[in-house]
Amino acid sequence: MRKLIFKLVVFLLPLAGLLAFPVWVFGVSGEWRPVEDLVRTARGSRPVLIEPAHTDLFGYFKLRSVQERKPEVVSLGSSRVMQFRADFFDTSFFNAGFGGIRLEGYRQFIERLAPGDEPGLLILGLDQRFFNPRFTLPPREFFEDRYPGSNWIVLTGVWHRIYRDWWSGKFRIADLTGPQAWNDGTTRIGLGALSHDAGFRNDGSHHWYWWESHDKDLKDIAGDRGSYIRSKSISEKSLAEIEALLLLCRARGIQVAGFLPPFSPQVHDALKREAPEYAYIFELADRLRPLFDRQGFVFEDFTDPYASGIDRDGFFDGEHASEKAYRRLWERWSRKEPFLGPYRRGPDRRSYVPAGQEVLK
Amino acid sequence: MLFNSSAFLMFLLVSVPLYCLLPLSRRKLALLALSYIFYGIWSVPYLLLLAAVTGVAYVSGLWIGSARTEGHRKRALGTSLALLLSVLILFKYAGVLGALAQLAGVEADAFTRLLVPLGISYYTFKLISYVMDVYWDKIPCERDPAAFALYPAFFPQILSGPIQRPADFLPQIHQPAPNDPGLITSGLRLMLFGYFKKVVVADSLGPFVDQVYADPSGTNSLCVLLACYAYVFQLYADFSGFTDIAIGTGRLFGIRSPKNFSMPFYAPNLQEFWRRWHMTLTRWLADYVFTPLRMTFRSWGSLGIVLAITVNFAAIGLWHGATLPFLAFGLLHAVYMCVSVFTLPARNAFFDRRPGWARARIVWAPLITFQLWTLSEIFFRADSLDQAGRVLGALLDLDAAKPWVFGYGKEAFLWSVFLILVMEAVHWVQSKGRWEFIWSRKWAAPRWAVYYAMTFAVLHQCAGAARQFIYFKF
Amino acid sequence: MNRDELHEKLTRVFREVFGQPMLVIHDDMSAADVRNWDSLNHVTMIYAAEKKFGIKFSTREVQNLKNVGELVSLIDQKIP
Repeated sequence: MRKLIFKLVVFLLPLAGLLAFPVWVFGVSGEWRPVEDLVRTARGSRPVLIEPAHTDLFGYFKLRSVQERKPEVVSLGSSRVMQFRADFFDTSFFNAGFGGIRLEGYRQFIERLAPGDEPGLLILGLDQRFFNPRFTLPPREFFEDRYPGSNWIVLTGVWHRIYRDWWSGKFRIADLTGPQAWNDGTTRIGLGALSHDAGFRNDGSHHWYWWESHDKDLKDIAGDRGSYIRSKSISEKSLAEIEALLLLCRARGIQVAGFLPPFSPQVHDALKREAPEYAYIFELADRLRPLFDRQGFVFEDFTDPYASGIDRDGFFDGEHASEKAYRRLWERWSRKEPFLGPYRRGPDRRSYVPAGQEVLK
Repeated sequence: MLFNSSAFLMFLLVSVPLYCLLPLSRRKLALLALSYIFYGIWSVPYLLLLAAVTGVAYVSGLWIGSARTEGHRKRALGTSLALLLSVLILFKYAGVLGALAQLAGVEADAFTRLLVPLGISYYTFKLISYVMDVYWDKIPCERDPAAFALYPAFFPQILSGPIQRPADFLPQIHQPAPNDPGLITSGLRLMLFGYFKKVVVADSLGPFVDQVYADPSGTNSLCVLLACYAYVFQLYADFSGFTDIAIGTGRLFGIRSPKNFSMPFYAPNLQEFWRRWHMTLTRWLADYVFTPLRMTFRSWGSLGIVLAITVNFAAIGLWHGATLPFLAFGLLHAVYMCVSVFTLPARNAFFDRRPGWARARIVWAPLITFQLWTLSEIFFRADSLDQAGRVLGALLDLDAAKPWVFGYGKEAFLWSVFLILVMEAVHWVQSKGRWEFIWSRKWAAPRWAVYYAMTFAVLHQCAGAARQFIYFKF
Repeated sequence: MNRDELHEKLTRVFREVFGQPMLVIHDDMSAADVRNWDSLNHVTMIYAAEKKFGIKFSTREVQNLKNVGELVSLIDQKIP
């Protein structure tokens, strides 16, 4: 028996050795922390940045946060809605946007809220590409716990990536052990937060680490690919989905404020140059507005950064305007629409944003 | 606790060393405790059900054993069988029964939502075989309650078999063998191979099969045919992998379990196929359903044979689930079997007169058997007769213009084919009995290379969800 | 009926049921040794033996038979 035990140990030793570093990285960086833990930490008074690199649980994290907090205002959509800050509002707010959401995801999100948990106001960011019939993505499940019980199982598939990322410099050991990781007042969870200072904040908004990066978007426009696939017509299926979504919100007693998010001036100019090819973008507002009007909801088209007055407020990239830009959009919109006004935070009112997380960019 | 969960591995990591350190006299109780803990973690009420049903069978065994007259014995047998079967039918077919009750206007909502107890098909069958073996004087009744309780509850076998006979299991409990490093090593090896088959081979075929079955008319008929074959191998890898894990785990505790699979695809006819596929279930049904039925109907000639075969295979179908496709699967095999049985003597005589053809028969008999099996598996896989019909229709639709689909892509598909070949190569070596010979040679390097390869393949596949993650943000 | 006669009669039953005209049976023989002797034909053989010897078996007796030798002894006991 002793020989067997010895052989087992010898067999497992290289495995353990190989996995030791990824296990340490995974553990120290907080990648292992389950969604419930993240939801709870984000509700605390300490500022957080949450950006796991290897676990795909953002949709579920956002859903659970809304279920736990039951905020009065929720913004829902893709990464182009993630710039709304709690600071903009006079009441409780959570930003439930996350990258990669599909149009069907909006309805699934609402359906998963228990009666009584719904927000009073839902701000819907509707990416123009959702209405492009040529832009198709395979269906995905966003709102389930993919790794019930524990995230550690993910490590078995990504341990080699951790080596590769460290080798290529995507993160450094110092990020995990240095002062930034330990005592700068912000709780950072996940490799993205630790090495890039990126991630979801307590109010659900997202902090990006790049700035004014337009090349990829411009290349995609030129190459007719990605989010910038050209189309002259609007997807009727998507419009039907919006109509169903709005009906659901009406039935659940949720007020909806929908908008088309802005492009950066560079990208908008490029799209305009190719205008007939991107006809669907420029005709979208006219098709969507009636759907919102019918339910007594409001709708605004911010596609054009110049018309919206934010062309000088800075952009992270071609699709993502800065938070300053979104604050300006919100101020204008809430002053224009009487039904949004009460939600706007006045200058003398308490801010819902912890110190250190004010709107910077 | 599923076999492919970290909780299960933790459970073993803790319990196996502790078990091996225990003195032999304590092992029976320890194993019983472990099995009950294992089941209790899933559900305590259903653990009580298991204990209750075990108690019924235990008492019945004693009753039959001590009964003085044949009449008493029959009554004891009848009562216990009635109880055991009604529990099985009640829980397993609650959905169907509830639906029937609702048709009759009876309120049965809570009933239809009853969760099927884990392993009920397996432990009930074990207990039935015990009671009948005692009745037939094949074994004496078991007086030791702990040993008896362990028989249906033995946790490696409770989830999906194999269905071991009491005569095979109980002596191992009464005379536990001292720690056998060779047995433990072979158990670990078998578990590794089982995980490889289940997590790597079966799961790699899944997307392709799922994609074709979701929309059979969306692809050409050759692709549908490939998907049907792929499903057979997926099911084989999944089930035999699971069984290997069960048998391997049993060996870690010093218990030897019977085989459930033995190179079924080389069987020359379907009778032989069933003797090599899910062997313990086939043998169980042969001993406790088929043979008694045959004995009852033995004077009915061919009609008796047909009846016994039909009931036997309908039972196999329905044992898997109370749905029409499973029933169709069973009945199709009943038809196959009747035809095969009635024509086998003539077929054998035909080939006995033509030795040249007989040699070729060795090759194409298994191929034909495989086609027949694949056809029946279409029903096994389908969610409804409608879907099965669509797959069959797509098979016959010879429109060559339809596209090919490959699940995750052509490379992934070819990789699955490679994995199937690896799996069958290992099976072949195992069947020739040369496994132990090759594997106990001096150099550990080639062996360990294979172990490491399989371990990494399994680890990598475990995090299947992680693979699909759009790894872009970082 | 003596044992040899019994043996001979049984041999004829076996040859007929299992389709093997040249089959020779011995006491240690079991199902594994004979082609076509499966659970189905087992009962067919039992029934044929019952008719040939004018006896009746119970399921219990049939289930407990391990080899031809035991079958021969059982028949021997049952013949009046």
